[in-house]
Amino acid sequence: MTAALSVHEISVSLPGPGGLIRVVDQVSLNLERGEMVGLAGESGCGKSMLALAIMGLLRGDKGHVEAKSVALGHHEAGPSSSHGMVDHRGKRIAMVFQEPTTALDPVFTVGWQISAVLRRRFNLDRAAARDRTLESLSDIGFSDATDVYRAYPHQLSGGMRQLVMIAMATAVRPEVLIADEPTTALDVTTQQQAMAQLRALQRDAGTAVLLITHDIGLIAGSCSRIMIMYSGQIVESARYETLFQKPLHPYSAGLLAAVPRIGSATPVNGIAGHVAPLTEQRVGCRFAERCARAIPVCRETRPTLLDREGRMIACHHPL
Amino acid sequence: MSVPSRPPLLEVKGLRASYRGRGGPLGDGKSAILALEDVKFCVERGQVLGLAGESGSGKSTLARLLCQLKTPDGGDILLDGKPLGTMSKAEKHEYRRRVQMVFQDPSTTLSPRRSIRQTLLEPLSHFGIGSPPERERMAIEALESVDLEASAMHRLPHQFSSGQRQRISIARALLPRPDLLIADEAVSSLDVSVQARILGFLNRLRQERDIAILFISHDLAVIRQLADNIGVMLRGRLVEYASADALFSHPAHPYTRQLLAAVPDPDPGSGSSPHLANNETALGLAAITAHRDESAGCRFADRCPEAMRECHRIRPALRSRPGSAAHVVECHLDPPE
Amino acid sequence: MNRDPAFSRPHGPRSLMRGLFRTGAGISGFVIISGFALLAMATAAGAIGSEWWQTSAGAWQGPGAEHWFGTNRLGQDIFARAVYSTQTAFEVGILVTIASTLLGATLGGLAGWYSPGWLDESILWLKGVLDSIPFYLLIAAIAYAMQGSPWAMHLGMTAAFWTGTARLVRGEVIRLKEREFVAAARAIGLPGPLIIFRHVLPNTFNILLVQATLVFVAAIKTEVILSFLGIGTRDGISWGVMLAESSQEVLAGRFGNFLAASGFLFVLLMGFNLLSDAMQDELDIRGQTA
Repeated sequence: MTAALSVHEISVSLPGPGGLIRVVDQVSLNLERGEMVGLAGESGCGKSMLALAIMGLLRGDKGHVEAKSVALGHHEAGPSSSHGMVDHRGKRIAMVFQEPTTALDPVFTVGWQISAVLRRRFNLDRAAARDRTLESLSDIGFSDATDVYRAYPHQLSGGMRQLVMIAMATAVRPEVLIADEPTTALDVTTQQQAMAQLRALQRDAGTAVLLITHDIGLIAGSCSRIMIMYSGQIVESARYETLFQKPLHPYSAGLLAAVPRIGSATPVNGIAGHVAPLTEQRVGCRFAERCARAIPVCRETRPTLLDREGRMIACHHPL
Repeated sequence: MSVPSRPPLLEVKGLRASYRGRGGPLGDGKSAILALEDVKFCVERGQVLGLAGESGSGKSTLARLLCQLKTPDGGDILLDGKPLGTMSKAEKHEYRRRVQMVFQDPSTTLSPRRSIRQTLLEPLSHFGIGSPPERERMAIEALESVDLEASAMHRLPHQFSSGQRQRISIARALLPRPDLLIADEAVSSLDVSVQARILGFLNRLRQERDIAILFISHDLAVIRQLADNIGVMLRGRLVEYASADALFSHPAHPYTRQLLAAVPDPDPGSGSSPHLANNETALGLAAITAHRDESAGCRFADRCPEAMRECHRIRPALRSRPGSAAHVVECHLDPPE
Repeated sequence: MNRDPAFSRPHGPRSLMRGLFRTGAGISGFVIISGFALLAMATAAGAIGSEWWQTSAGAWQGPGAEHWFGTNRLGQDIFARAVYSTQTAFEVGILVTIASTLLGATLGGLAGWYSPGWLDESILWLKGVLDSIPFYLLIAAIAYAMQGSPWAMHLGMTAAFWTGTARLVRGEVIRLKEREFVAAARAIGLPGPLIIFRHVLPNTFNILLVQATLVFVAAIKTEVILSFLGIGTRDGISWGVMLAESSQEVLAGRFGNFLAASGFLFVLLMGFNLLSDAMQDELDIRGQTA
């Protein structure tokens, strides 16, 4: 069966002080219908750029995108295709953006914005769109949906704006949903509700969801597979349980060891060093200087993502 | 809370504060919103008190009150038994030296056009600590104690990463040798691996120095890393207070149980939450509402799966858990065993 | 959430200069202005143009090798007069810019910090009053009140121009007031005015710089018009005075004064426009990553 979303070797380069800088380096991924996959990474790893590139939102001087192919189902929609993603956005593919403050248009009410999207998607008249909007707002958890409908974005708190964005994206019932840090501004109790909404969409509409987040716990609760991203590359990709029990990449292991658990007071460990600035393009593995297991080849050749016992890992000296 | 022989380092009694509401269909621009109501707790010397709360719990307002950035509408803040309200200007100045704050946002917490050296020297000269040559040395030592090099002194904040900036912010707070450090969501904006480093640093800090920490966060898992005691805040009230061990093993308030159940755990094996009582579920919370509920009853009544009629009408009093005087909870119900 | 340090741009005058030199507009603007500035300094030092008042040559001589723009009614070399006027222009520009920027930044800073409040209200009221008075009327009134003092013009312009700067600074201060580094300064007990001048105002540098160039231009243009009206430069020479002279002469077919004065003026103002456009672009771009 054709994957809902398949991306082959997408790269994003940004203009920097010394020329073009690769911020996303030949990333490939597939999303099957109805599955939720987590993409975990810390700041500067390129995950947001990757999302924008897939959505076709990086054009011109914002970023130079190259890809072998980006396909929604059967439809090729990558940067080299004749149409690109613009035809599919808001219908077959939707995105929940990271910044709730800037993603909503400040001069229109929240209700108007959601209705506008629904009208375009489903060809509804004003009244029907309004009803559906109110429905989606109360589904996501607003008890005063009518008040929220009439509110302008600046009148809502950050958490409420984020919920509005999730409501907007899920109401469209797309084939693919990319959610970039969809719950950062939400309380932990509200976060559960939002995730439940995403899972409902997955179940009822068969939407494939790419959940981009730094919160491993969030991925644990909802995703079947996880990909770990570091400095523009996917370094490990596996089924979640497999990775959790036995991470192969030293960065994955470090990341897991850094997450505090509610169940125990065992001190967490950070990862030595810090992410090398992307302007310093170097040969070899970008994690090598922070890695306790680095061997000479690590500093010479960049490891590629290879299949190993049913999982993907990019490392010369895995655990 | 026990009655010690000498007053606790910090005591908060009956604290009340409010602020103006926001406009629009979801708010009333005119009337005041109660941010904190009747909050009381103590922090002993060298202890870490974790304050857990979600948005609207009043924890940020509390932090601002403790730093004198805002004046309370009622109640008292006592440092070594002396109320802030009756302090002279000089005493308040000394209070500010002894109680220091680390803020949340590393990208705006340092003055952008001032060098690190200027930023670090400022509290020292303001509080008159040391002679000018000594201050330079103290600033460099402070940098080194947070694993940064002396060369950082002449750089500007934007040349550092978030983790480094937050460490500089901690160094700045520690320079006047405070007795109490207030960390208001100090690690919430950081990546998880960076966060882990800072937590490790704070742990080392409380072991090496006799410094108390008031650690405010929405993340109970993070609080668990540091706290000796934990207070849970909900809508301006402190609804539960216990030692960390007691809170995690026997959470008494239904809200605490909900909170613990809702925290995502990376371990896929931890399916059902051990904290919940039989008839509670992790989901099934009432809808989010923007309106402030100023009703007379318990603040959690509209969301509590076990709410009784009494809960909606009468504010519960703070009472101890049976068998543990130090573990208090504001709830009408008897906590599960 | 976090910002990759690799992409954050440096702040401050030095990096601004480097940024300006990247565009053709920035470079040309800078070159033109520097050229004029050097000219102004040279005339102030007496090296050039000091013969502007000499009536040695014959009247109404056409342009030639000895007098590039010819001579005027009194036999004075027009070119020398135009060159010397550069000093006048820069003197007015610099004095008015410095005075109005200082005044605007201070009052704007105080208004923004103490907003909402009586101080803010008072300063806003004052601003409103001054802005409502027609500009040339204000300056004429001050000029008459100061009866022939050579500084009347400078004072009048300062009184009119500080309001624009103050408005911008006030807005920026209100925005910056909520930032954590300000809260940190307040938390240790630093007094308000100290925080304004030490922590907040230095972050308005970009705004002040752009405003300063605009005020400089406005000052020069205003001087021209005031001199044309006879209430500007009295005891000296300026392009405005030359243009005033030329208004009658042009009707008689003598274009020397007109061409020289407006030519110099045009090139200088063009230089400023190029520079401030380049500066605005540069600061806007940096503003995005700030």
